[in-house]
Amino acid sequence: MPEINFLEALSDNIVIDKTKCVFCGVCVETCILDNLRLKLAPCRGACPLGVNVQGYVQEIKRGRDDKAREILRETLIFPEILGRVCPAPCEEACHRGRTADAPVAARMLKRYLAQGQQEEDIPVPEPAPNTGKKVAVAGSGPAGLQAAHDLRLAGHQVEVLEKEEEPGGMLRWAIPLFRLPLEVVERELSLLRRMGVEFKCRTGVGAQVTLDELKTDYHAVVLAAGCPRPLTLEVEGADLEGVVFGLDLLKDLRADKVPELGGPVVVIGGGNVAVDAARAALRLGADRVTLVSLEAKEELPAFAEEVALAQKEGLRLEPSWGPLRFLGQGGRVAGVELQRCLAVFNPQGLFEPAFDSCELKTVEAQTVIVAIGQSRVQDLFQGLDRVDPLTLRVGETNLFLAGDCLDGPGTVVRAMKSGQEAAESINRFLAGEHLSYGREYQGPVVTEFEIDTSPGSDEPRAVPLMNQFSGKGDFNEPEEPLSEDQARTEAGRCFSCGAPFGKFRTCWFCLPCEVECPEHALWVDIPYLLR
Amino acid sequence: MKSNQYPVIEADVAIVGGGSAGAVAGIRAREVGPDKRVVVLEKGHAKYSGCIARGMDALNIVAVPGVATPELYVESNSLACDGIMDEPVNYRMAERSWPLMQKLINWGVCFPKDDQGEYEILQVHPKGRFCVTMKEPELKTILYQRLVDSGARVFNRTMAAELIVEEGRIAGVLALNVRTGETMLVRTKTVILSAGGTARFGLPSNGSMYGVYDFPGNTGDGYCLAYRAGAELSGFEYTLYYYITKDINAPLLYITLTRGAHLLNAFDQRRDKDHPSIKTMCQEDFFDHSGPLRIRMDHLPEKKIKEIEDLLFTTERPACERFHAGRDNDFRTGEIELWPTEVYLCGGHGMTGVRMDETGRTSVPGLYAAGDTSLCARGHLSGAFVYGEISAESAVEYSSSVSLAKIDPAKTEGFLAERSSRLDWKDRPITIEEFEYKVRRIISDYLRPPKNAYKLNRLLWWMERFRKELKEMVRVADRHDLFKTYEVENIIQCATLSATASLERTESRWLPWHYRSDFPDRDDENWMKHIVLKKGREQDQVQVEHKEIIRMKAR
Repeated sequence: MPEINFLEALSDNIVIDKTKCVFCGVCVETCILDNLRLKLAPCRGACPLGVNVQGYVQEIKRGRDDKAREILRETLIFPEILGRVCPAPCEEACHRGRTADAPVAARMLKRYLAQGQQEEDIPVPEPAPNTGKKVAVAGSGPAGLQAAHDLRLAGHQVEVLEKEEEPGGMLRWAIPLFRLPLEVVERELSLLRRMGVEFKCRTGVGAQVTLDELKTDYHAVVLAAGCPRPLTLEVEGADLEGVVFGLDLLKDLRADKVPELGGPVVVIGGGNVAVDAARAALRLGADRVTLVSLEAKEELPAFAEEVALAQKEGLRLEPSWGPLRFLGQGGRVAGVELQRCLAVFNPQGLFEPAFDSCELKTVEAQTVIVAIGQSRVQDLFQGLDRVDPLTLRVGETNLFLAGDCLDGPGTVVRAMKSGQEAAESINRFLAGEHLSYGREYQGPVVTEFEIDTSPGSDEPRAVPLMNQFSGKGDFNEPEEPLSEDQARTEAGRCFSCGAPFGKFRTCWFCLPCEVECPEHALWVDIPYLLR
Repeated sequence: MKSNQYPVIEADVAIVGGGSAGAVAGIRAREVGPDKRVVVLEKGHAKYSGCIARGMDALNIVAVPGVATPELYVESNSLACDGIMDEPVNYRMAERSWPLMQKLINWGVCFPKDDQGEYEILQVHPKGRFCVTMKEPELKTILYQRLVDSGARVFNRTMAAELIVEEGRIAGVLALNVRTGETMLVRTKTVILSAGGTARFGLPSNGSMYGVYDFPGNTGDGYCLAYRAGAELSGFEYTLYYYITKDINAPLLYITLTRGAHLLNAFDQRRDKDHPSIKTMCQEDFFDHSGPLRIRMDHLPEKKIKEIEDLLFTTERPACERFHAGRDNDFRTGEIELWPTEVYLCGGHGMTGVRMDETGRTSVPGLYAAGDTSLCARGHLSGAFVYGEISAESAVEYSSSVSLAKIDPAKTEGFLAERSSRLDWKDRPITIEEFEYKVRRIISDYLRPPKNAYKLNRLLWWMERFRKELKEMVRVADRHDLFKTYEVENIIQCATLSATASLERTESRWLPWHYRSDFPDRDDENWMKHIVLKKGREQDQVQVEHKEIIRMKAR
């Protein structure tokens, strides 16, 4: 436990009713003597966006779904999308998951809250009065969209430029529809349109418009161009017909341009794009799909849940193998010769695979899908100065980076966080404020504290209803949302770890914390010494 | 640290403290100078910070036309101040008190009227009725909203730590974020100090360091900023304590007595007949040993009790309701025990403050004062509001006549280096809270009357020692501790100033607050004057001067 001062040995007179508290932190921000702190639930601490997971889960438990939705939307603009595709770092940090049986299914509870919501059900936040400033956001993936949302909310005129014919970036063009249906993407994106964000499609930076033009024509620019360029495999036969990139295949699938696949398909790669492409191949008619990865199965970078699901659907794994060359027949690929991969990283932790060239094997393939990673379009970044890691500002310019183009492919939630940071920087930049002041502060929270596990029920983790995969042509989502009963039961498993408290014992019982509490969950007792 | 690593804000008017005086100053500065950049630095959160966290039950001094005059107020308050009062400052406050009240009414502040349509105006001064009953639980939030709407920029959780003076005038404020320890420089043409008095000074007898009478965020920051900038201070020998509800240290005297409550001493003698005041109760307890005094209301009709409860439990300190409930204090049957509070320094309740003239101007060009930091003796909330307005008007006017002064980078770098060095005090044995506790215990021991030269010199010895101990023994475990080191440093400085002034005034006055057992009599012939303190030429040397009381010019 952290060190305490002698005042903290006195009793705490701030009384929290945890059956009412939504852990919003308003009381902490209100206290004029800075007495209060929020014990930050591990789930919330782990979320890059700081989503108040504990708050919405507890409100579901209390049967107050509307309030839960409100809490969720306070920090998460795309709950329906993240309810499907988030790798849920909150669940990884869940105290129940770490110390007892299994984490609370926070992602599925998000989806439960968001499902069935129509466009008109999504509340549109009122942007601040017009600032007269114009901001361009180049790229409409999760980072660009989050930045656009936050900038518009601050009252700026925001134009999102997208090189494709529709916005969404990787959400629309890479994540396959059986994981993220199109209508979900469109519904959640509609929020931005309704807030007044303008979208200019078929406007690629470096193609239809240059970065310099944007920097001149707009008061500030967010470059969130992602990592759209697939990495190539430098092996013999890579140019054979039938060797395709995973990203291209997924994009074609979204655009209804995919040919039927027949025969055996081999996917090279161990990340999410590889697994998505493999599952797409299963649905496009491949007889047999094999995923070849350098990594051992337990080290695959793809989300474990997705890998398990893919295996259930029939995906075969060939872990710890690397492609030596592609074998051709009549100009078309016919197989892949593999060599055993002994280690993916060198002792310094850098990517430098080591192979055993004596252990070889061949797998048959009519199509080979290469999905070994992707990178940003380097030309765009030529000559750009150093990027400040905190403010994401490029040198002393009006250009800010966000998303995967900053530091390589990552999760949707991580991209959204960087979009948020870029927007915060631009809001300060345009207001003439200091860019970094206060931003390294974690907030008025404590992260080390004892957790009372008694509020959690003994129920096992909810298992969602799964649709049986029927093979070729089945593009339905495998997972069904939780039912109301399931959601309440699942929320009941939560230990409800966090809570505000009077840390420094500097209370003057002036009561604003109590007055401002939106849930009437806080009571200021007269300190014992005075009682 | 390079200069671009901290924010530099430019302002015409920087206000230190967003309490009652600071909020009104901000509003007024934007009213009279709509083009002026007005910045408020607030250590807590301006929505509720200051002595008036929520509401108030009275506007203590209003010269209501037809009821009382500013002249009568000057005469009456001069009596209450035992003659140590600059008349023009208090005259101006009284003169503007009625228009100020009208302004508050326009802002939606409630001053209840009786069946005849008259305000309730109570007599709490030796002569005349000036105290107008207010019933406004939302007073501070009303002010805050107006402040925000005015366009003033409010920086919450920001403590002003140092004023920068260049070319003999105000040039800037160095401030600290109380949570992150980060620094901010405000380049400004003027500063209004409205950071309260020194409420965390003596230790309260309830044992809670923050269970003090006045707002515990006030640690003499305004006094010390002014002192280090070279301004004149006065009234530091007025070591005030109140006589109010035991243990919770919350007020109730006038609300109850003016509605017929009885005041009894420990021998059950009625003491409510001769206009008792905080001062007379303190005297009785101190000299006659007839305390504790108690308030009894069991003879009052239910309507009166309800009226008292309604005011007491909703406005200034609504927590009183749960305190009395916890003590099983039913006003209908029981009584309320009163007790002396801790000793503290305050311009509004007492007469400790930065000296200013009737325009709010201090002895440093560009520096103004308002509220409990300023010396508008016993001006209470009226003084805070009126001098909030006046200082803002003067600051705006002055700011139009000067440009931002150039700041010597060595000054900011020196401050930053010293600040950073405090963050290295990690492995020291004494927590800042334990240190503060001892500092304040020693203040209570030696500065609380009765005073004498021996005790006051001991106090000075202790404060010298504490200054060293702060830099050698006190631990700064995290950034949150950092600002507390500045707070306690200010408390120590205030104690030194108070002991110095108390030593100088070799008489007794404002009994019992400046009762010198070695000089027990009042000596008007020699001491009808201010003890003015200024920073001396040498490090830590306090320069003491005597200054005449300023009288009204013949009108």
